[in-house]
Amino acid sequence: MVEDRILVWRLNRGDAAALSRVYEKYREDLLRLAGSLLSDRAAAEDVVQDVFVRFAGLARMFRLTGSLKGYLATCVANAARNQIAAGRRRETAALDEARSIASETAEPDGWAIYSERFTRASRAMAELPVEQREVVTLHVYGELPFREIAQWQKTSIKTVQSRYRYALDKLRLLLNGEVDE
Amino acid sequence: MKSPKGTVGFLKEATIHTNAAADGGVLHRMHEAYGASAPVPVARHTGGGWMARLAVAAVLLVTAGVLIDHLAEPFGGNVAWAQVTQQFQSVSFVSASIYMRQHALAQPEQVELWMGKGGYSRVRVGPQIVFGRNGQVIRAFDIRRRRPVEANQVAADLIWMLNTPGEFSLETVIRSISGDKLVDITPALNAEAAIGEDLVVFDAQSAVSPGWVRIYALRETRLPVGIRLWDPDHGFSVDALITYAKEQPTVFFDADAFEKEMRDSARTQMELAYLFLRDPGGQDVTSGYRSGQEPSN
Repeated sequence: MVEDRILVWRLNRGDAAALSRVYEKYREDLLRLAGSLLSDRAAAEDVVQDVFVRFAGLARMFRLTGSLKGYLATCVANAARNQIAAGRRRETAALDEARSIASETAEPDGWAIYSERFTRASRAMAELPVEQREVVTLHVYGELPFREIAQWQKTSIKTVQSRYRYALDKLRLLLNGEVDE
Repeated sequence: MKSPKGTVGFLKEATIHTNAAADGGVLHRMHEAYGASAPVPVARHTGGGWMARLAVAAVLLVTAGVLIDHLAEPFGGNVAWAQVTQQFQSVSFVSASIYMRQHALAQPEQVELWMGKGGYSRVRVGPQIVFGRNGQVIRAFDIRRRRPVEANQVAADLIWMLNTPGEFSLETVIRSISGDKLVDITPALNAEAAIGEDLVVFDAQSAVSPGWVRIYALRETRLPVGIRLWDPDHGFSVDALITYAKEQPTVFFDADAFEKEMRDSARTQMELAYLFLRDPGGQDVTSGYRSGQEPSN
């Protein structure tokens, strides 16, 4: 959108005030994205924070070729993927389970304050295979088109659309009685 | 509680909020990272007025002919734009009234720009009258306080950009807004309106968002007369009216002559805002200063 182009233009030209607007605009969607991809709340917040800080460090030279939200969402998804891979390597699934967002409602000193609905949604999301979770979160919270998600997942657009469809079907079942179709 | 919008609606309505203290901490880290990054050589602009600068830049690019050259490329050297460029180069004096609105219900802000041959320019932003030449601010005056001041950043940027079209190229404005997707909409746009037959209209349309820039040029003379920049998401808009005239008296761009008149307390702010401006049609521009009364050069 035009505003993002202007924000990047400002950042390119040394206007640090534009950082606040970028942050204010996208922090919640990025947190929802990370929170849905990762079961570890602290890890999700770290990922989003790191993405914002890295973006700030690159902002003077940053060249926007698509949507800023899409770019940031992809960064979050990449970092989340790395976290998941690292978590698998450390075999900390049990720990993750214990710290899962789904099991928490609020953490007074945390950065994010999760609504009850988000807690239910992320609990259902955790039941999905990672690839499906990525498609749903990138499309719904990152507003990435299927074409871009397909490029990112290095697969075909049809596969991505199928993953999305399967994911929504499963979420509907998991959220049984909470959503109308 | 059921979501009326299905599964996707349920997910979208699953909100997260953040606490302000933690927000401050993240922002602090972001500012540190930004501050620690190496400044880009062109980053001479800091402070407020950024939106005005960008919006005005779009207008400037057209009035300076820079945009027109670039617009011709995606059309494969479209004849109309080539003619626009040629016609523009023959113009002696250009003025632009630029109105910017931050959102749908905001009051518009106005910037006035005058450019003459020889690299002279003059800008009014709020109470400031700023004189420039060849990209440099010569003098700036506050006509409310009636004294020299440091030039408003919007005006200074405008004057600077006039002399640095390569720096402030299509890459910065049109490409950023349009994603390179340019559409000639002349037939569709003007078919219904008789007055529209006198116009050629070009759109720079965003490939990735609903934002767009529209440029109106006269069909016969090929001179651009209007620009509209529009963001449907937020209602940010820029409207510019561009007019042309025969050369103004050189005193119009003379900062010293302006300052001398500014010291005259009998001069009203209205007179000072348009001091020495000659209306091409011979109309009075201000009540206290009539066309043809300017000092001899």
